[in-house]
Amino acid sequence: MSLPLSSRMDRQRWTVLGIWLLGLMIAYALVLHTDFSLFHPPDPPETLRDPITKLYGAVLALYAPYLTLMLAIGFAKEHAGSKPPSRIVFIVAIAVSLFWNGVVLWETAEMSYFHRLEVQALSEWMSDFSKDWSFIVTPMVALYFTSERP
Amino acid sequence: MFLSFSLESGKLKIPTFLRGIVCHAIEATNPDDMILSRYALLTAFLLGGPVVALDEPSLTAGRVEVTAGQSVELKWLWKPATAGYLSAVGTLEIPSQGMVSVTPTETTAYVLILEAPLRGTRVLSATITVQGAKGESGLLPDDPFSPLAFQSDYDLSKRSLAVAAAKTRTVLQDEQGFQTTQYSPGEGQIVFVTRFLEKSSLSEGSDEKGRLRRIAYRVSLSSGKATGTLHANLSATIQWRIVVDRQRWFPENSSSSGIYLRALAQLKNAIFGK
Repeated sequence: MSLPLSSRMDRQRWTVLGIWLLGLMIAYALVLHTDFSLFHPPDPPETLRDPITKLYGAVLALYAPYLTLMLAIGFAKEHAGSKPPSRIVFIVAIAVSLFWNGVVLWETAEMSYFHRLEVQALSEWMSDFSKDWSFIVTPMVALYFTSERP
Repeated sequence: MFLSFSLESGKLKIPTFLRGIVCHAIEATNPDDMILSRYALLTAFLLGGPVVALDEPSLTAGRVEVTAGQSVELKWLWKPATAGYLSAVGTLEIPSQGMVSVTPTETTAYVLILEAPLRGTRVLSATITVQGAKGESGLLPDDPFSPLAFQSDYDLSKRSLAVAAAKTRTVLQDEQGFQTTQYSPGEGQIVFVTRFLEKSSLSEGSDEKGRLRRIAYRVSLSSGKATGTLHANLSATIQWRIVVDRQRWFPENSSSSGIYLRALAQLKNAIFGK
C-alpha cells in the first residue's frame, strides 16, 4: 500500500521542493505579466507572440528536470519513519536552491520588469543556464532527496 | 536644324545629343578662362559654325573610381549662378564656381543644384565609385517604404530648390540625426532618403505601453512647373517593436494614420516653416 506524498516526504524536503515550485510560479507570473502587458496589442501581427510562446516552453524546460527528479524520488522512496538528512546537508540544499532560483528570477525580471533583456535572449540564456548547471545541480538534488541520516 | 542661336545668351546652342562631343572637346585650363581645344575647333568646323563655351553648368569629378579613403576633387562651374547646393557640403558660398575635396567610403552620387536669375535651376549629379566598398549611398537605394507609408505633396511658391535642399539636409542630418542618402532621379529633382531612426517622440501621447517606434523619411524636391515654385513630396514609413523584442520591427498600420500625419507635418514645418 502506498502512502500519500505528504507522509512520504519530511518537512525539510518539502521546503526544498517548495522553493523550486515557488520559483517556477514566480517565473511564470513574470512571463505572464510580460505577455499580457506587451504582447496583446489591438492589432497584433501574426508572428508577434512567437518569442513569448517560446519563452513559456523555455521556463518549463528549465524547471522540469529538477522538479521531476524531486517528485519522482519523493514518490518512489518511503521517507516516513526515516531520519531526514543532516542539518548541514539541508542548509546546502536550501542555499543552492535559493541561489539557482534567485539567478533565474533575476534574469526573468531583467526582461519582464526592467526591460533590459530581450525575450529571445532570455530563452537562450535559460537553455544555456540549464545546460551549464544541470551536471552539478541534478546530482545534488538527487543526492539530497535520496540521502538519509544514519 | 541641329544648331540654333540663343537670343538670351547670344551664344550658339547645341542639341543635347551633340553636347557630349563638344563638352569633351572643351578644355578648361582654369574655370575663368575656357579655351577650345583643337578637337572643339574641329567639331566646330564640322558643324559649320562657331562653337563657343557652353552656357551650361558643369560638375566634374577628378576621378570617377577610387579606393576607400582616397580623396577626390569635385569642381563645379556656372558663371551666372547665384545660389547653389552640393550634397556633400550643403549651401555653396560661391555658387558660380568652386572645388571641394570629398573622401567617399562607399559609392556615392553627389548632387549639385545651381540657380541663376532668368536661367532657372539646374540639377547635376556625379557618381564616384569606391572599389571594394560594400554599400552604396547616393545611388537609388532599396525603397524602404512599405505600401502603407504615408505621403503628402506640397506646392510652394517663391521657393528656391537650392535653399530648400540645404534646409532639408540640415533638418534631416544635423537636427534630427538621420543618416541620409541623396540622389537625383531626374531633371530638376533631388531626393533625400533616410535610414530608420528610433524616435521616442513618435510614441508620446500613446497609451500603448512598451512599444517603440522608428521612422524613415523620403523627401523629394523638384522645381515646380511655374517659375519660382517648388514641388515637395514628403513621405514616411513608421515601424514599431516591443520593448523586449529588439529584433523584429512591424509596419505601423493604417489605423495609426495620426502618427504619420503628425510626423510629416512636423518635418514639413521644420523644413519649410508653418
